[in-house]
Amino acid sequence: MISPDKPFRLCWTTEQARSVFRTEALEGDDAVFLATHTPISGFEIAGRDAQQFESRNEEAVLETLSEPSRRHAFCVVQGEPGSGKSHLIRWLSVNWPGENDLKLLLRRADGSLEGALSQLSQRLPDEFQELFEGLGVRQKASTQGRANNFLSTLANALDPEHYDEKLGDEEWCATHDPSSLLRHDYVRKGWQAPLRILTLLEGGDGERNSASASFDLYDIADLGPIARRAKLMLESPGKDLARRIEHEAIKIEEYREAKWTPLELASEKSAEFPVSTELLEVLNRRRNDSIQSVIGVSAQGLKVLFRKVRQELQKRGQRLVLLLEDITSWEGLDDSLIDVLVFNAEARGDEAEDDVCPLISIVGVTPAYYQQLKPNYRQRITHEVILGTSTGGLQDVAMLRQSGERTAFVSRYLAAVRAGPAALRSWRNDLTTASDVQAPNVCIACEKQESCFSVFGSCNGVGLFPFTENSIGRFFEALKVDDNGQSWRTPRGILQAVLNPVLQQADEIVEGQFPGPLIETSAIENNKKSDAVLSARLERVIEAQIDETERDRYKRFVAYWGNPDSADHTTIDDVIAFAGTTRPQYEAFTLPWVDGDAERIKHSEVAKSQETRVAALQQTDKSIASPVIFEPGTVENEQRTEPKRQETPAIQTAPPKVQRPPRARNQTRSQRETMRDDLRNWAKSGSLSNPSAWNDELYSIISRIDARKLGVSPYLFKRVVTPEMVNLEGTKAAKRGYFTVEAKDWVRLGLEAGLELQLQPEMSSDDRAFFLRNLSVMTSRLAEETKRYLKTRLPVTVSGEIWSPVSSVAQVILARSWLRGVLSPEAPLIEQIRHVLSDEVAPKSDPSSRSKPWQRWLEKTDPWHDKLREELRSLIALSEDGRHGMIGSGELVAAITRMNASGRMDELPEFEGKLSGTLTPIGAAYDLAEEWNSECTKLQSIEFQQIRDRCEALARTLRGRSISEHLKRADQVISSVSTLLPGKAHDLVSEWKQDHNEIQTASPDFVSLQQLIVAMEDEASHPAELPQRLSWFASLPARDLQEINGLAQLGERTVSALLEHARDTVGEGGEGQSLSSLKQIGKKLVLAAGENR
Amino acid sequence: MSVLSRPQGTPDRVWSLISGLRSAKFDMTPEDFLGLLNPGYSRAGVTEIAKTNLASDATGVANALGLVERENSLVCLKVTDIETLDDLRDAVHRSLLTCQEGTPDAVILDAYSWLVAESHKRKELDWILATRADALVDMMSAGLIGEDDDGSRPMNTTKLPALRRWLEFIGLGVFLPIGKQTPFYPSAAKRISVELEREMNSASNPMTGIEFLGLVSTLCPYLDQGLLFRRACERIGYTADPRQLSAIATVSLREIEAQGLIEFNLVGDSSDAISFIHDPSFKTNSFNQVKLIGGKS
Repeated sequence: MISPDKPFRLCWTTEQARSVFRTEALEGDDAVFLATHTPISGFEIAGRDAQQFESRNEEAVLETLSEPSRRHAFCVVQGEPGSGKSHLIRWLSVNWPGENDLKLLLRRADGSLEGALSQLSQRLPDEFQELFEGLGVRQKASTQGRANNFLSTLANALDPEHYDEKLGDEEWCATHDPSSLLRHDYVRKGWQAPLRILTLLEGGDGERNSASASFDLYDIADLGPIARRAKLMLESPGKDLARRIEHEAIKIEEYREAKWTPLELASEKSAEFPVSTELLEVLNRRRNDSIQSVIGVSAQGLKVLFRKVRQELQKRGQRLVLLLEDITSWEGLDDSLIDVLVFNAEARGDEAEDDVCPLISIVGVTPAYYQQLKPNYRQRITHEVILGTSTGGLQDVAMLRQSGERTAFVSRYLAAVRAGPAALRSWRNDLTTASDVQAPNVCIACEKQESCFSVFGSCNGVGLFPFTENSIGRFFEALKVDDNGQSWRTPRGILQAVLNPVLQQADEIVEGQFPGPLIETSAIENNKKSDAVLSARLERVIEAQIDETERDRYKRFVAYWGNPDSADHTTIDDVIAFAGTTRPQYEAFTLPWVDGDAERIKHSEVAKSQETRVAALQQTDKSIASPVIFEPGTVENEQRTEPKRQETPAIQTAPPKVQRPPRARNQTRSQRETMRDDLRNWAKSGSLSNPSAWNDELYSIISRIDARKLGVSPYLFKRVVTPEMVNLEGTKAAKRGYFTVEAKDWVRLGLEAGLELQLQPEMSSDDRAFFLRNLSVMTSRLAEETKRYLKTRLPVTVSGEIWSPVSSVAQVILARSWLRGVLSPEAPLIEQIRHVLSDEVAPKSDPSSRSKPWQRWLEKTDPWHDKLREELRSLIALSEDGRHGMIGSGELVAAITRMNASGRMDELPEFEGKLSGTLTPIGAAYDLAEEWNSECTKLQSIEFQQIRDRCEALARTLRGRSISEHLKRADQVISSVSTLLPGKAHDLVSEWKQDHNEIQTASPDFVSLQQLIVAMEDEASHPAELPQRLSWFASLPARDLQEINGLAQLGERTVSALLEHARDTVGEGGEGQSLSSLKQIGKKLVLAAGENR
Repeated sequence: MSVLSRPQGTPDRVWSLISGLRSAKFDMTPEDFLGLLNPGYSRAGVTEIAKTNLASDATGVANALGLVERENSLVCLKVTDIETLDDLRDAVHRSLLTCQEGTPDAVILDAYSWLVAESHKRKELDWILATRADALVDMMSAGLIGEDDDGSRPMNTTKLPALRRWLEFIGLGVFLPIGKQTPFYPSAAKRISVELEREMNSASNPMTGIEFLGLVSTLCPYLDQGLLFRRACERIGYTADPRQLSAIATVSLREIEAQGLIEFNLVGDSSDAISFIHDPSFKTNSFNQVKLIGGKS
């Protein structure tokens, strides 16, 4: 179909495509096979006689194996399913030169053993057909019935006495009695493994795909829950076996969930399930015997058959060449077959055996099968052709490693599809007469060839339409490399998952609906599909520029034909392109063209950007080293210290519950892609595969927000916004106090931008601009979110600002200093600043002589003052570590000024939360400030009252005398009377003597006390304002006042006591003394005692 | 000495001085003024005090920016309406706008104007991030005139960090967290937002694209078509298309738009449209009507 406005001609039909593509090369006809054959080369070689291969290509293999003098070969062609084993074997068959050889090509066909035997029967000459008659008869039972028979046979075979010739595991069977478990009714009804194996041996409904029909660890895992129930009815040791299988099955299930294949598990982790592994081996050892009786074939019959065939051929002087596409088709008889194949009559030199013909066998095996091959078989492999190599996972395919090889592979099929079956068959016929006839190529005569090749490209004269070389590469890279243990990056994968679905869309191309959704098969990695692979910017461009009805088609096109990582306008071979695809390609498929700025479209945009990016990183590296740029306040530091959390790579992987499989399951995805997919998944589903790494990244970004812009000190910011609290929505169970960032578009775009800017080595300036803008927007919005969060964790003032603890902390320290008499509100400002920041000095106000509230306040601040000073230093520090001396003084000065003015601390905003944990000191300041404001008036009042009361009491006692005069007189009286009346009022006299002596020794300032007494009486001279009053109180000699007053009161009590004794003495003495002498003593005593009054 | 030649005079240190002086409510001796920032105090028996020259850089910058002055040997506030850090940002911005051409501190906005002019010429910002500091300084110097008080070049690699820091402080750039790095990204979104919010009540709303550009270039003359921008263009011999926005203006306005503070529309005849740097990730790349959403900046 030709459309004048299109650069192409629709040169195939859907039916043509269907007829050419078959799932297996062997199933197509020879014409297609030959027309599409891609020479196989570059493979690895091994085997005992590998050196016989002169080179690593198919011709060398053919030449070596078909060499006329060869008497024996057992060649294994190893490759993943779909890697081209069949293709190579078939090519060898088609080109096999030995006319005297009996060549038998046994295809995989339906994958069943029965099918394999049937082929053997069909391909052998008629004279051998009778040999098949005794080979066996299929049972009449249903599949399930035969599965039950298989299980029963297996159970019987597990009896230690079952075999005459011992298998070596009889002791284990005797110890564990697996037979009793497998015979149990629960197992018979519930265990699907026998049916699974039987189904595979019968071809797996055509979907076997080289799968091995052996028991595996997942079969044992399936047995676990059944064993749990069955064990209740079993006797030991079967009961113990069931219990152990039950426990090990749980662990196996964990690995199954982690996507391990059974083979990997058996190979890497068998030590973790010893009983299951042993049971597995025991079962597989008996599989062939058991299955043969079920499917009605006899191993011995097979051996006899081959012997007879070979004997006959020997008589005819012929060789037998056996080409087996897939050994797994022979499972059930495979060990017997291999016995036949490895048998080298010549080497054996056994006279009884030398009547058989030479046998050259070439057998296709998967790497998985090869791994299970018995060592004695492996040793007898003469030649090995290994089609791919593995770097820890599945093998690749050597012939598809290079882009050019893939393109050539595709182009051959494109030519074949365009030619159609009839033309191909005709060509095949021509080939029989002339071997150099070229395969049909409709491009040669196509009138659109020039434009078509120009837009889509060509390979060896074959147009790539509707593909391009780029799209072939993109499709290939998008194919799953490990789809439950099977790779799609194989020739078969390309046929089934790329060529077939795309070429089925002939109608869509005509209708302008190409590429339709069916081009994306399940063989494509989900993260490479068009709804996941596009860069954020390209997504945005499509959203902005493409009509909604066309967006999905557009995305599919750029995902495979373009570069989904780019939203740039560039030129490709001087043709303008967008997102890696030229304008003519868009137009060819009736897709809208997105205009770019013509002036800015440059060649080699990426190269330039890559060049400059190096400089950018160097530049920013240098800037980072200099905190002058980024860390205000740490200017003098040469090295910036990152928070500890950032020392670990921003992107890290949390250890999974169960280790990942040992193969490189994610080798198709870079770290960047993996993380980007993770983010996108988070935006859709709210879950992340690696939440801790992303939460670390989020914290890393938030922690670099300038806290001062949010109205909090950096120190407080770091105390509140901690790594433990910061998380992305869905990554942690909701908890009060968490800073959870919702899964909004701007968060995803911002995080993705950060990711791209960090990990994407090549980026255009437009991409960078896009990412920088998104990052900038996110940073700005995160600042707002962070402020909102801070308001939930810290008190908020009535004006809506976050409360700063600086004032409260400073004012608590100030109040304490006032009460301790070490700082006056009248002190110079800078002195006050220094004071509150410095270590505490000794008190000067005799705190213990103060009133109870005064003392109580000091006691309450005792445990906090050091911590509060430390907090204050950190809160106002202008360096990250709080050292180096420079401070942000604004808040502190304001706090000091306000406190000095009113004596009250700043009013505190109401707060229902709790300032705990690392905020405890701040919480203490909050509480102390609140208490001060409610107590300070009372505190000063009580202190004043106490001082005044003490002054008044002392004044009364002095009776108008000076303190020293009064104390001297009192001491004289007490001394005189106590001399006259020794032993009287002894305690009081002693106390007086002691206290008086101490006072005399201390020589307090009596004058100041006398002035205080006078001043107390003059209320007009007292400071009026609270700060000054407190400061004045603190400056008063409270201890002296207390002690002198106490001494004075003690003197009063002592004299009073002595007076009483004197009176008593006078009364008693009257009975024996003269009246005159008595009067004399009495006068002295009274005089002495009354002296102090 | 200019602001940039005192690299230790960082914005937060200057803020300490200004906010301290303001809170003290009295003029101070130069020593006490310095003590606001660097009082020296005892901690665990050790005196914590920074080198005097570090702190004096900040007093010098406060002086250079005209925020304080000396009267009778006392330091007093020259600008009295600074209550918050944002006020200081505005005051510094105002102060820098009043610098005479060729004076040492005019270099800060001249350098930014040069960045804007170059971004207009190159239609992208990548080069700013990508160019090494020494190369950037050399390029920038070509667009600057005059010399510093000490006779040094108006811009050098020592001054460049200080330039970025002050530009960030007044809202003419941000330090973006990319991995462990924080490169300077010269978005003027913050400053434009602040300035526009102030004009919310007096400016017509919506307004035409040309009116909007006129308003922005008046408030922020270092941006497209502003006085400083035009001067920068002259110095590098570049004629800027007045209907085409620079890359810096584009990213700044796009960011404000993304924050929902402004709306750009293309209505009716587009002959009077102003163009952003072309970016197909936006539906429209030009506008002739602007709506200020307001509410916050």
